[in-house]
Amino acid sequence: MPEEKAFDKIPLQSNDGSIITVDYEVAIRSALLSTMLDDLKSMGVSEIGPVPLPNVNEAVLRKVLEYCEYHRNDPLTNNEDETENRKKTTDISEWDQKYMQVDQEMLFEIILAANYMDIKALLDVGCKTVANMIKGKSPEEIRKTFNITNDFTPEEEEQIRRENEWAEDR
Amino acid sequence: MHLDGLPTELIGEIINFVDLDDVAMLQATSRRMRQICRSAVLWRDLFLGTGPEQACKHAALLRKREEKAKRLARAASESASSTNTVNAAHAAHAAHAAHAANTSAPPYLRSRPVKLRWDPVFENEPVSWYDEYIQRHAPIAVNWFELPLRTTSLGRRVGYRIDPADVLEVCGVALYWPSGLQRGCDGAGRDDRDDRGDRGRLSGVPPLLAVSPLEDGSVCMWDVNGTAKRRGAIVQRSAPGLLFAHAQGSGSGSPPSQSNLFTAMESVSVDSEQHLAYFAMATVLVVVDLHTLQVVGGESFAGPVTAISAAHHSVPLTVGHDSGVCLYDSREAVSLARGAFKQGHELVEEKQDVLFSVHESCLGKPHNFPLSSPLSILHMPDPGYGMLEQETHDASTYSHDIFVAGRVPTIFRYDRRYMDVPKDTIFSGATLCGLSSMPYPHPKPATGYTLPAAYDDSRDSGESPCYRTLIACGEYKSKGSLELYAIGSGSQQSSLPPPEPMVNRQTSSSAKILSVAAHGKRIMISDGAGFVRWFERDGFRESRRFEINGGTYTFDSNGDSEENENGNTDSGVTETTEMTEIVRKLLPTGIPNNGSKTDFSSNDVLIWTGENLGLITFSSQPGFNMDDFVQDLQTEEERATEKKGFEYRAKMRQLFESARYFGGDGDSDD
Repeated sequence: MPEEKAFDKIPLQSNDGSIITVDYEVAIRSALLSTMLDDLKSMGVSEIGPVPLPNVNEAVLRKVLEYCEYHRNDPLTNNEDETENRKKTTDISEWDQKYMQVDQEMLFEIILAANYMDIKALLDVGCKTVANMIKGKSPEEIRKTFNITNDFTPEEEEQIRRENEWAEDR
Repeated sequence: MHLDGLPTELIGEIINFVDLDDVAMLQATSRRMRQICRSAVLWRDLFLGTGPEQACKHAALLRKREEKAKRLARAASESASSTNTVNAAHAAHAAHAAHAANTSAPPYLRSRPVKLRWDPVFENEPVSWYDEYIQRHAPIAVNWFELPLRTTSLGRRVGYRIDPADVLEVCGVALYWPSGLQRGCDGAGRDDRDDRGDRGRLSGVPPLLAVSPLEDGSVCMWDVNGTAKRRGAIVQRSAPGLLFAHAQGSGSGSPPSQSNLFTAMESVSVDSEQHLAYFAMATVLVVVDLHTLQVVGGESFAGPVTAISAAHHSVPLTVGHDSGVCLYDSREAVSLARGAFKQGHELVEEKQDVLFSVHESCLGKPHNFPLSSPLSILHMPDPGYGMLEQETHDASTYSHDIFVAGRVPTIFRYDRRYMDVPKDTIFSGATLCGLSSMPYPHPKPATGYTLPAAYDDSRDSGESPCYRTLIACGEYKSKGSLELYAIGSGSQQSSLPPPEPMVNRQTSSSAKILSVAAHGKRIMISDGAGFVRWFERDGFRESRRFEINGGTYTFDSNGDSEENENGNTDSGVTETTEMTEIVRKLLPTGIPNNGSKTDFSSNDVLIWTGENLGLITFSSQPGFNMDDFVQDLQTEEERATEKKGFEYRAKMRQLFESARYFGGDGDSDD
């Protein structure tokens, strides 16, 4: 496919101004970038300047690209297949697990960035990681883990406890 | 950046990966999380089974429960061998949990993904999918109410138990919202006079009491939802003989033996707006003010009263007795609440109240009810009642239709304005004993509400449906009969044909159906074999069952009449009662037809066994039991004795449980 040669390297610009240049295979992990590049191709554009990513800072972008780099040879699945096959388990591959060993701040930034750049696989890994942090915890433990403020009145809390009687007690 | 900082849809993504039990925990962390976790789509998809993920997730939940059950059963059998009391008590607890968990996953379900492909909700009908999910899948527990004791011999006990002779029989039941239904709906404006202790009150939850006449002629009220005192506890009780005094005074001379006074199956009715309770006592209707627990009115009838309708302030009470049905004007009792009680009187002609669009000549005059005494009287609400957000319980919600059934194969339809002769009859062929209704037409068995094009008109315009459904239950050739009839409304003429009557005499029950009620988006019945069962609104497809004595139930997603009787051993969870309870009356405790409100709608169902009151809740363990309320009376020694007994029972139960669990899967074939 000759036109693929058109974009060998894609320069990406984070919201704090740094420019990171990645391979085409890495960039198209992001459905956002992949769509954009397709559009440009169909318009006959062959040279592009830095692509601004106003929602992502440098640290997060580097982290996200690290993921894309590692998974650059994974088969790309289209969306419908993905939802069908998307395993609803929280199994995460070893590399991904290690990759996700970051502080919560970064974890949520990655999820936001993955969502914005439309990297389904990364979004799933992020969500699974958070899900694993929720599993098996009591409400109080979940609040502590994620710094959630309890804004229920005692009455509301009692009510919700009762409404949730059907579930396991913790 | 915190979890809380993520946009809602991303939190939703995360929830997709979390187990349902964890979702329950997550929603208890903050208001925002609750809102997200209650998202309708999540719970709807779960039981509509629209996606493979949902089916997987549900199966995973069941699997998890099952594993837990296995673990607990093992733990229980281990600690059962030791004599350590703490361990044994723990084992009992574990066995109980194991039981609850075990029953939630009948064997055939483990291999079959949940796919319902069935829409149980009428177009535009408000629905809480979260509640639907709980009602359909959460474990069921039965809680027994505090036993009312004879006042003369309070505290006398045999061993560590209350002397059974001291326990008074509960002779009927009705629900009472002391703050009224309307005010209850907005959660504000609790009744000022109702100023019992505020502790443990839930915001937005209107207090709910059960009102019953007792064997000794007193009126007793229990706290049903824990807003007044404590769930299941007696809140207030009148002096004994309150009801008898008037019943006997107006009777025909000889004081009737007391239990004979309770002749009617549907003998209690409460008007929550007026705070009045109506009791049918042999030939007399006694009206009691629930604030003062004093009799404020009453009327004698020619024969024994066999049924009374539900009471609502906007329409007169309908009374059925030996020789007919007639209306009782409650306005009189309301005015009498301030005056003296007259008995055996004629109805006073009063000025016409707008709410009572009744011909005065109809009031108090018996009318012909052919053949036999009525057993159930239903005031039919208007179609689509409860459908709109702003709907309130005003007069317009009740149509003029009154349906009467009882021991004859025909249902009679009366018009409140012309009570002289039945307006209409519906031939059933079965011996009927209970009536209920839902404000929507019933769907065809195979399709649910999704497919029939017949209702497209009403769907597109978003108007009320043109038909309501009359639900009747009873007995046909010694089997149960569950029947659904579409009832048109006078005011809204429709060109659409009504759905065919649905009569289920094959799979509804192997025994007489005693009580029927609409629960959530389903129909709930209780039968003479001790089962409580839920059917989809087509009256055909069984979705769940529960045995009051044993606690087993099945979930039948395909509507086959698949029986799973292997769980019905006598190792049941109830320990204080002999295994012969049946449910005579089912009273869902959600605010009637309050479909749009989900904040405090209750999934619980009040049950009356003919002697006791209980509450069906959706939790892995009962929240209270009748024994809880006698603890205070016991001495240290008695408690120890009881504990021993409990341990023994727990041990026996574990044996049954583990035998059933580890070897019991195979015998479900039929």
